[in-house]
Amino acid sequence: MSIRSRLAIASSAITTWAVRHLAHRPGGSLPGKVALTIDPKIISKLQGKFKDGCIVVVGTNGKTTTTNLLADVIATSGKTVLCNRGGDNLKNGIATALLQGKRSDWGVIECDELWLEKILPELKANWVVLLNLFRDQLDRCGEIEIIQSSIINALTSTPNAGLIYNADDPLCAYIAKRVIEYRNGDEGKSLDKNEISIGKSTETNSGQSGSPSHDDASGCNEVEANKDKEETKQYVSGLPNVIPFGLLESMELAQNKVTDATLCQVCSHLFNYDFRQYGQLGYYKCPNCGFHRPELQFLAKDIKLDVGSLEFEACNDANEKCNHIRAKFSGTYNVYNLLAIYSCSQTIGCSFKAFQRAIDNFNPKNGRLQWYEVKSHEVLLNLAKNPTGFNQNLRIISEDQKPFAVAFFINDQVVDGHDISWIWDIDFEEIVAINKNIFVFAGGSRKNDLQVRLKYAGVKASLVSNVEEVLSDLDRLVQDGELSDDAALYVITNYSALPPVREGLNKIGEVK
Amino acid sequence: MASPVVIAHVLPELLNLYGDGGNVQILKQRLLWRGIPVEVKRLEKEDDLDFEDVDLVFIGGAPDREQKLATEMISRSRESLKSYIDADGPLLAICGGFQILGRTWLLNNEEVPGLGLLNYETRRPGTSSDRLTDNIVLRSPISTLPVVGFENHAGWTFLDEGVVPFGEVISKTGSGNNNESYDNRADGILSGNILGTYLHGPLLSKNPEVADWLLVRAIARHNQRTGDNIDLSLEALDDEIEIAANDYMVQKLI
Repeated sequence: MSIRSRLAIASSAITTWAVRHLAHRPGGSLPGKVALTIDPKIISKLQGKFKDGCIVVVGTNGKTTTTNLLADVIATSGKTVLCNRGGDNLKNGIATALLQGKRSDWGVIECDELWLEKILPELKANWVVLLNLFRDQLDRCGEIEIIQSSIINALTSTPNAGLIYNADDPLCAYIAKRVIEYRNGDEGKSLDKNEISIGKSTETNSGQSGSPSHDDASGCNEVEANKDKEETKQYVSGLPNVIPFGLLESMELAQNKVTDATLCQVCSHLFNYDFRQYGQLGYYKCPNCGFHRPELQFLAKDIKLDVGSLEFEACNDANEKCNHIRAKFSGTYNVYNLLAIYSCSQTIGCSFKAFQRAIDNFNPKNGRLQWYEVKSHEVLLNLAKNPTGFNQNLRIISEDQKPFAVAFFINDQVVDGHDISWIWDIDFEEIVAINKNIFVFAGGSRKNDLQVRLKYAGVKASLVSNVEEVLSDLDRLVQDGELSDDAALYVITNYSALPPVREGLNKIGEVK
Repeated sequence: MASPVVIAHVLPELLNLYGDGGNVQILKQRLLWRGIPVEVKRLEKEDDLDFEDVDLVFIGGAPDREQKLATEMISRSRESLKSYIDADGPLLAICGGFQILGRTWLLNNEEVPGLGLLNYETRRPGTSSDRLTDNIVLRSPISTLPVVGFENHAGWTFLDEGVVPFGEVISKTGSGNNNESYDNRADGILSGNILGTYLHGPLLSKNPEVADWLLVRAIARHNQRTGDNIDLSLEALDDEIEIAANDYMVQKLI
């Protein structure tokens, strides 16, 4: 290692110490920032910390949950794991995690989609897990094709990285198609964002992928683990190494009004859907060029969803080997998250036992689907950053048949996006239609906008400054006999609104 | 009983970016609150694009690919839309919807022909490639309150000389149509009963007077078209919540 790298590592260690001991905060991303200033290539110097391999998780919704749970599965298999569990997924945050973490068997790294292009070639990960692409923070990112181009470029410039992707999402399947074409040598050497714009490719079949053999050995052994990362070949050289997962059948959900992609990116025709799960996810087919949901290599079927739990059959390779998955958390999106984790953990050789045990013990305490008890109220806190996430949350809470209260907190910081017009793409009308006896609160820096949005959905929302105020208002409603003292409270926040709400609930309630 | 005022939502599946569909919901609700019957026609397919029996047209924005397809579809019904505009039919066009009504717009950084119904062009920025993305507040002749919204566009629009913008930018942030010509720091277009703008938010959520400006014109056309006699002096609504949301942003941005 060069003197520069050693200096970078030493400086970051000092920063870590200072942040923890002087500022009394967790590491965050500052130590990485310090190290990157001294040695911009520090990530590529540190990627050798992983003995067996490294997995990068990208996608608009579900990254943090998936990353944490995947790390848990691998750890439950008896391997050591280095993971940026806090969700610091930009370059500084990833560098910080690498600097602070110990040498491990596996790295499981959450990465921002736009940063993947820069991070993946340096990290030389073995697998990229691609969850979904929804509209999120558009004023930061530009349009969704820029994000796709970042992911395609990352995978074409890192030929040894495999891709495990959500085939139900046509935006992800298009990425896979382009990567397969590139790896098969059908496309030119370089890809830029102009090239993925309007229907360049003439290929009509995207169902092709590498078909690695899965062995049943537990313990997450890479098939051809090789100490020398530069030379690592995961499967037979030349195969595109691209693995699709998805749902075999429709979950029969009511559709929300706004979706991201109805157009085929190959030829710009409108898709036909055999069925849609939510957003643009489902079984899509282009009537013009034939682009369609690829054949699944890992699939979910017999899906059962409840307010506080879900279960389904996860199968490898067209039904041949199935496992029954149970989780004590809900959310249609968690079927996809769990299937992604299952696909990845099976691919790298983890046992199903380790998978199920990790799910059983999962309790992230990071404000994602987290239950609290405040007085006699059960309080569910969850994060939602975009219409799709919000709509899935409204689904969960509208299962509650009893009168309840719900509080929304929306901020417009840089990390949230300054533009909050997306709250008009949320189907707030749904909760009113299902349950009339609800009490709604609007908080966060854009509470006034929320109140307007809810007014036009037919909901009278009260403005609140913080979550403590919600609970004191709830007390008043209970005293006035408007709500029972065991009525549930659902709190949904966007990104920067989450920490203050979580701190508030930690103070006044008990984590369940 | 009057027949319903008809609001046409043009290609809502394609042109649905940034919550712009909320504008249609707001227009509809503000008629219902006043007891005026309303019908929202979602013009989903090319065959639906007929504007004769319509009282108010809404065209939203979209990503490039969707916007290109939508433009091709609308261009085949251009004559129907032109007759509507020539007969002073009210129209609200946002962002991409505003761009495609002009002579050119920007597709993948290339200038392509628009519908050519209004006198402006949308071009590549001359001196910089910056996307114009920010909170923005306008002073507009059709609203006593400042007009609040959010702009997010790569193409820069240049009005022909003499063409009137929707409003002048009065916030610290925001650019409006473009960042470099004589009409710099002005947004959109006001031409007869047509309102084109870059403002998302959605526009009408925090600007109730703009919504009512469109509705008065829709009712006038409706009365003329059907022989109904709906009162043109709109009943005042309680807009306290909308005005508070408007004021919060105005205080922050001016």
